[in-house]
Amino acid sequence: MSKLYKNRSIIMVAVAAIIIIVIIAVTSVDRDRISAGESIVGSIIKPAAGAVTAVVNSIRSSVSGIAEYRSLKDTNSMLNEQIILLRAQVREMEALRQENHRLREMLDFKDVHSEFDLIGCSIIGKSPDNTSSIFIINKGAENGIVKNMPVVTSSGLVGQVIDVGSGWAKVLPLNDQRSSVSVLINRTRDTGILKGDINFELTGSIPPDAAIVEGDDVVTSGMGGIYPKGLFVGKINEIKTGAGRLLKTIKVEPAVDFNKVEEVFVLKHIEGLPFGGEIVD
Amino acid sequence: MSGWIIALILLLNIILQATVFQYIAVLGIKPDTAIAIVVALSTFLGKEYGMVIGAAAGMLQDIVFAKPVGITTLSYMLAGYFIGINSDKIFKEHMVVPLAFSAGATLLKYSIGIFFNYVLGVQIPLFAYIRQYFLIELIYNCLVSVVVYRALYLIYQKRFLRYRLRIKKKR
Repeated sequence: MSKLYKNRSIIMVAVAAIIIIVIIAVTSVDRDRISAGESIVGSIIKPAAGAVTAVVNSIRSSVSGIAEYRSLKDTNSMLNEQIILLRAQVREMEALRQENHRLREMLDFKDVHSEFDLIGCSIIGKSPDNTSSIFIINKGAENGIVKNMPVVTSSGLVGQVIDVGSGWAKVLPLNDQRSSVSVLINRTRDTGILKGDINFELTGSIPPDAAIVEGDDVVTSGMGGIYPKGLFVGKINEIKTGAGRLLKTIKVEPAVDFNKVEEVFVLKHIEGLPFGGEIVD
Repeated sequence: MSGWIIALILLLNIILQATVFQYIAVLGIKPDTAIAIVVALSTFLGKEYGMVIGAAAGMLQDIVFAKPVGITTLSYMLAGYFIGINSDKIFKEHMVVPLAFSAGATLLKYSIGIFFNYVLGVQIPLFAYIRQYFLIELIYNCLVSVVVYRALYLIYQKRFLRYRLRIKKKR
């Protein structure tokens, strides 16, 4: 008994390790909802992370504003308060113009993909793990978000929802190495598979006889049932056809800049309408 | 009460890691400050606290950012435990301590991560993985660990953590 007591910490760590391995096994399979415990932790992290992200974004924007102002001051010492005021107004108008542009693009998107409702979300935190590009968004189950919903910006496809909590959800972007999507080369109609790689780039395989060229548009094929047909993914920027290769390897320049994206839209399919629109030129 | 302080440190850390620390990436690699905290607290408080703190830090990160949940939990828990085992045998003041322990913890984290990814069928180009992530993070974690260790050591020296946790100083 005393020997058992002496070894209690080894027993504790072994038991804990077994429990964790069971958790890994349970959580690695597909689940519709995360557990209550996970949901609570997420609800604690979410508002804090959201607030810090908001502060960081405002500091970032002010710092870039100051840098811009200084460089202008250097080149033109005649700048006075009025010009600063005008510049502020111009900046405000520019922000409004960009917002207008973004909303207009979303409207265009909505016109093309009318079978979806768009749920606007902000990114509130990104994975600290260097090998992962998973991020969390500020909306969850009560906004109608469920697992496997596609996530887009006005530029193109971002990824898919992989876990949903209350008020937050985890998104797996396309450029994560665990991500893959069935795609279609818009011009030639060849299909292939596009995956994220360890450089967080999009690498894909296309049949060897495909007459693709650099710059061809890549869109989702609609196969797999997660992403609807016709979502813009990016443009081919590299094609490799080595001797003995069974498939052509392509690299795709994503339409979305995954490092800079701050706002995304989750696509909620409207019941009764066909899943997936026509291919956009 | 001090358990609350440790919980607060871990919570604050995960929030900073998810937001601010995204901007201090070197060659695309962010430092793992959670490892630095686990290394420091396990060294000061021993294996059982190390194990619990490691598991808590890993679980937080897993729940919010990972799928499946548990891989980081397991690696940080084992790291905390193994560091804690050795905590009596070393000079805690020496700066080699955080360097060596965080190198070991980073190695353990990557080994467990690669193993489970392999088991779960995620294809990993091993050498590229080591070159691109592991080596850079190893160096970055070691450097950050020295700073974090120093800061937490100062708090520990003030007997703040120790007394609140009712841990007797080992002679």
